[in-house]
Formats: sequence, structure tokens, C-alpha cells
Amino acid sequence: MKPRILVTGAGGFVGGWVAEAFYLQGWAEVRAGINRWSSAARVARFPLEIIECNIMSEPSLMKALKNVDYVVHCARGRGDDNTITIEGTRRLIECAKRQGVKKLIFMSSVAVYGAATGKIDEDTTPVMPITEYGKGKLEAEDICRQSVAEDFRIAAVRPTLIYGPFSEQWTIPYIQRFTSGRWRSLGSGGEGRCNLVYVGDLVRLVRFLIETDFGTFNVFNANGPEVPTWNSYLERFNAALGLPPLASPDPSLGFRVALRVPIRKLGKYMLAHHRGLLSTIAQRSPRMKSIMMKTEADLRLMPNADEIERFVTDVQYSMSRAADLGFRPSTNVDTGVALAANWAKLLKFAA
Amino acid sequence: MSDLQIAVIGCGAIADQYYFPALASDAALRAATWIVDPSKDRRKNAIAKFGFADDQQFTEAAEIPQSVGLAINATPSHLHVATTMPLIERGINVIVEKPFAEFSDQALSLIDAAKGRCLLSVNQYRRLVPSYALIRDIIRNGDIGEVRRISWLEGHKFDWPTESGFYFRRPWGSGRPRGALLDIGVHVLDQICWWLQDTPTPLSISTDGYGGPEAFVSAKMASKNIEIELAISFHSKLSNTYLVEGTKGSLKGSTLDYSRIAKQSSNGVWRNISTPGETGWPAMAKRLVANVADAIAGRDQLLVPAADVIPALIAIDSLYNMATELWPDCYKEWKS
Repeated sequence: MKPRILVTGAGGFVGGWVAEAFYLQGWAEVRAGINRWSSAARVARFPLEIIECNIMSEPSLMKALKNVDYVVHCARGRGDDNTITIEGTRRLIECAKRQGVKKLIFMSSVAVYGAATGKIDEDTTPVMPITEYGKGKLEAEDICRQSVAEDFRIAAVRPTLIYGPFSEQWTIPYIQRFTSGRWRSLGSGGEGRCNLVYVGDLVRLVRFLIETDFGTFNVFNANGPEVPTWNSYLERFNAALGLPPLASPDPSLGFRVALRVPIRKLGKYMLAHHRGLLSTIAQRSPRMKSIMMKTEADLRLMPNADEIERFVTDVQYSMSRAADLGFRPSTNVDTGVALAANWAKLLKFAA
Repeated sequence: MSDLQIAVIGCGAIADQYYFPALASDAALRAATWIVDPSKDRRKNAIAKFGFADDQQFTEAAEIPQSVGLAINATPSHLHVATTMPLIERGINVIVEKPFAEFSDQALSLIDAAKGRCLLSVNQYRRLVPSYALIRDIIRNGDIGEVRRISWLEGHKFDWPTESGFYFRRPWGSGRPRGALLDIGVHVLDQICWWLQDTPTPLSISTDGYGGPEAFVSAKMASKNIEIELAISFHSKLSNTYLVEGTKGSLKGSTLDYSRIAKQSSNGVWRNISTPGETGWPAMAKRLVANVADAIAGRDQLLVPAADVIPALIAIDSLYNMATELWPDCYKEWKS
């Protein structure tokens, strides 16, 4: 009999991939847990079971977890709100144990290491500052660690930058930037290490951990088989899309990024607190809608201050713990960007 | 319109965002509005948010009084036929939310039933959009010569706050679930059919529906000597542009900006043209309701008669019948 797997956050990038890939492989009965129906457009393309799964609601969780063998927990809250990550994980674990779930794979992040640089393995001590997102994942890992039992095991997976088709952070924005013709080579500002894991390798690691004895609790970094520089990744991705080589670096990039910092902050605040008002204004005033769209496009096509810092950071995450158990990522950067480019062209992102 | 009683059937997202703001913006209209929804919470929210009369609410459309002269059918699209037919049988005029029906034969059955009984209109609101109306006029006047090619790319990440999830969740009795092509595509194809006064025939189509409703469609069609190319997506933002190429010039615009188009004359120079007029949702909803009210009173013709949207539904049927699955390389490694 096939195992039944609940994927929380199946409306998101990673959860969607886990649900789709497991369904296509045919090795498991997949139950795709979504928080709201508006997030279901992608996963609903497949005839798999979709269930409303409110991580904060015990009745909802108990229903979603009924007859489930394994849970892949990818749900998270929006922005810096860690309620889902921390309290939601606690409630999910409580309900999963009551429903007899055998194992839970928790999708954590390398953000738990904070500002640590250099070679990083799973035992590396976090370095401050840690982002709110990273703090939430760290606390949720602690909850996992304290909740395990012989018959309820948990692995926390700490992926690096997850790229590939549907990635709204490390793939789609760069396609838009490259095709706009406005993105230029980073030059010396792009010689930091780009720790990437292709989303398919992450899915393979999740299945590997479901099928492998890793003890009652363990954490695993999830990185790709090579760690290129940012320049190398971006140039290879641009080439895979069949676009002309990136133009030479913009010497005023840092200044232009700094100028946009207050605009980004205002936009983020408005979207977080007054999204409805923005929507109403856009519906009633074509001129305001046009200004908002142009501003959004300008910000989207430029790196932000965090990215600028990331592009020069020297950091490398070790995969040795998963390797010791026998897992090795198989998708190198050339293959990964080729898969992403093929997808982007077929789906007209790169038109 | 002040003496016309209006019932809105369904208090979901489209009513909340499109019809209710328009009806609530005018005191007389607000007082003349009845709301119908099986969910007590949804009715309560609508009354609290828009100030509709507390004693003008029902759980079923069958309960609305005979004094109601116009019903707005804002139910999920798969319920349009079943919920519109009883209204027609009672002789109540109806505005049906788009898509008018999921299949063209269902749409035709509604039109047949309404003959001599009531008026039927459809919220294909883009026909009220100034930029699209101007393009229609330019094509009809022959200003760009004979149209040779239309290309249309439209997409955004699906984020419609669907209350029922009907887009994705229900059992699909038809055997082939319908997704982005029916939802966004009905707008696109209605524009094209309206501009060309023809029903294009499909040449090829691929979708990423793998047993569920598709979120992406790429299609080629033909209308006489005109090539039509479409890409529609629920995944993420596409270029959101359209281009109409003629023998003497071209037209282009953004699907997100209804207030301007660009026209290229035969010398190759592009010129922006502003298209003044109200383009916000409340204004268009109000205009549609006012038009149907005027048509009921015999003062005007319907702007969007239901029979006019049949060509788009026929085109959609023919596309779905020809559809093949699109498998990007990234999925191939997973297929067992």
C-alpha cells in the first residue's frame, strides 16, 4: 500500500513541488494542504487530493491528518509574521502525534545561521543578526527537537536558495530582470558565493529522509552539487534563456539602490497594512494604477539592499551530513538553469 | 432606474468587489437591492459592509419577490445555468456574471428560454472599456487596413479571493476541467470576436491541465486570413499586452491600462492615443446595471446582449476539444 503524505503549504513553491513530484512519481497518496483556495491554481492542475488545512485550527488539522503516514511541513506565514511557523508547527506536531503520523519533515532554512560566513555545517553556531524569518525557523526547529519520540521522528531541512520553475524568489524575478534588458553584470559586486539548490534535488532529499533512518531527530543542510559565484549563476541563467550577454556593470548601482530604500519600505508597509486601499485606488484611478505599476516594475527590476550584500558574501553550506547517509544532489547549475529556462519559454515568461 | 428592484444572487468575491460597491454608491440603488446567498455570514457581512436593508435578504433565489425586475447572477460559473433558468422562467431580467455559461450549448439553451420572456445580459465588462471600444472602431473604419495578426499575452498569479474555491475543488462532470482559458480567456476571446465580428477556429492549443483545470494556455487560431496567437496564465505576470497588426498599420496596448492605446501608421511611427472615460470596476458595474435598466424600460439597447457572447464560448469549446498537454522538461524526470 502506498504511504499517504500530507504536504502543508502545498499552494506555495516548495510545497507545490513536493506534492506534484510525489504525485507524478506515483509512490505516495498525496494530500495537498492549502490554507486558501486562491493559492490552489498550480497544484489543482493535477488530479490529487486537495484539502483546506488551517495550521492554526485543531479541527482542520485533525481532518487533514487523518490516515496520514508522513507530513512534509512547508507552510509558513507571510513576511515576518512567525505565528504559523512557530505556533502552527507546535499545533501541527500535537495533532500529527495524535493521528499516528510516523515522521515529519520540517522545511526550515539556512537563515537559522544568521550572519555566519565561511564554511557552514549543521553544527555551526548561529551568528547575529538573525532575520525574523530565521528566528522563527530556529524556534520551530526547537519545538520539533523537543517533540520527537521513537514512533514520531522529525527531520528539519535547511535549504539554501531554492531555484527552479515556479521560484518567485530566485528564478522568476531574474527572468523578468534579464528579459527587461535593464539587468547588468555585477562585476566585482557579484563575486560572493551563490548557494543554490535546485528544487528537484530538495524534493529528492525530502523523499530520501522519509525513506531513511536518520534517528529520532536530525537537521540537514540542503545545497546544490556546486557553489558558483553570483556572477557565474546569473550569466549562465541569462545565457540559458538565449538572451544577449549582460551589459557591463553599472558604477552607480549602489547609489540607485540606496535611493529606492525608502520607497521599498513605504511600499512594503502599504502592502502589509493597506492592501485593500491600494486595490481600491487602482480600481478607481487609472492614473494612480499606472504610477503604482511603474513604481513596482522599477523596484522589481533593480536589486534591493539585501541582495547587494548577498552578492558579495563569502559563505558555503556543507551537505556532508546528508551525504553521510547516502544522499547526493544531482542537478548542477547548468542543468538547473536549462530546466528553468525551458519552463519559462514554454510558459511565456521569457516572451 | 430608481423604481427597479434588483436582486444580487450570490454574495461571494465578485459581488463584494464589483457589484456591491456600485449598488451601494447610490442611496436609491442601495435601498432597491436584495441579496441572496445560502451563507448567513456572507449576507451579514454584505449588509454590514455596504448598508443594504436587513429585511431584503434571502437564502434562495426562489424566495425573491415578484417585484424584483432585475437579477444579477453572481454565483460560481458552474451554477450559472441552473440558477439563471428559474429566473428566466419567472420572467425576471438577468445580468449573468462572466462566463455566461461554461459551454456554448448551455448558453444557447438560456437564450432560447429567455426569448419573449426577459432580457439577458452578461458582464463582459471589457466591452465597456474605452481602449477596447476605440480599437473596435479603428478596425471597423479600416484605419489599419485589413487585420492580419492578433497576438495576446495575459497572465497574473491567481489571487482571486474565491470564497467557495469552485475554480479548483469541485468534481468535474464534464471530464475536462476548465481553468484559465475559461476564466481569463473568455475576456480575451470575447474581445477578439467582438472586434472581428467572427468566431475564430482553433489551429493548435496546449495547456498545463493534467487532469485538473489548467493554469496556462498557449493557442493559435484563425479567423479568415487573420492569425491569432494567445497565451494566458494563472502562474505569474506575463507581458500583459496585445498587438493587432493590419496591412496599413498596427495597434497595441496593455491589458492593464484601459485609458490608452498606441497606433502605428503605415510610415512605422507609433503614436499614443488617450481613451478618456471611466475605467474602474464600480463605474463599469454601474454602467452595465444602468444600461440593462434602460433596456428594460425600453429606453436603450443592451450593450452586451447574451447572444453576442456566444462566439467566444464556441471558440473556447473548440479550443478545449483540441487541447493537448504541455509537459516542460522539469516534469519529465518525475513521470513514472
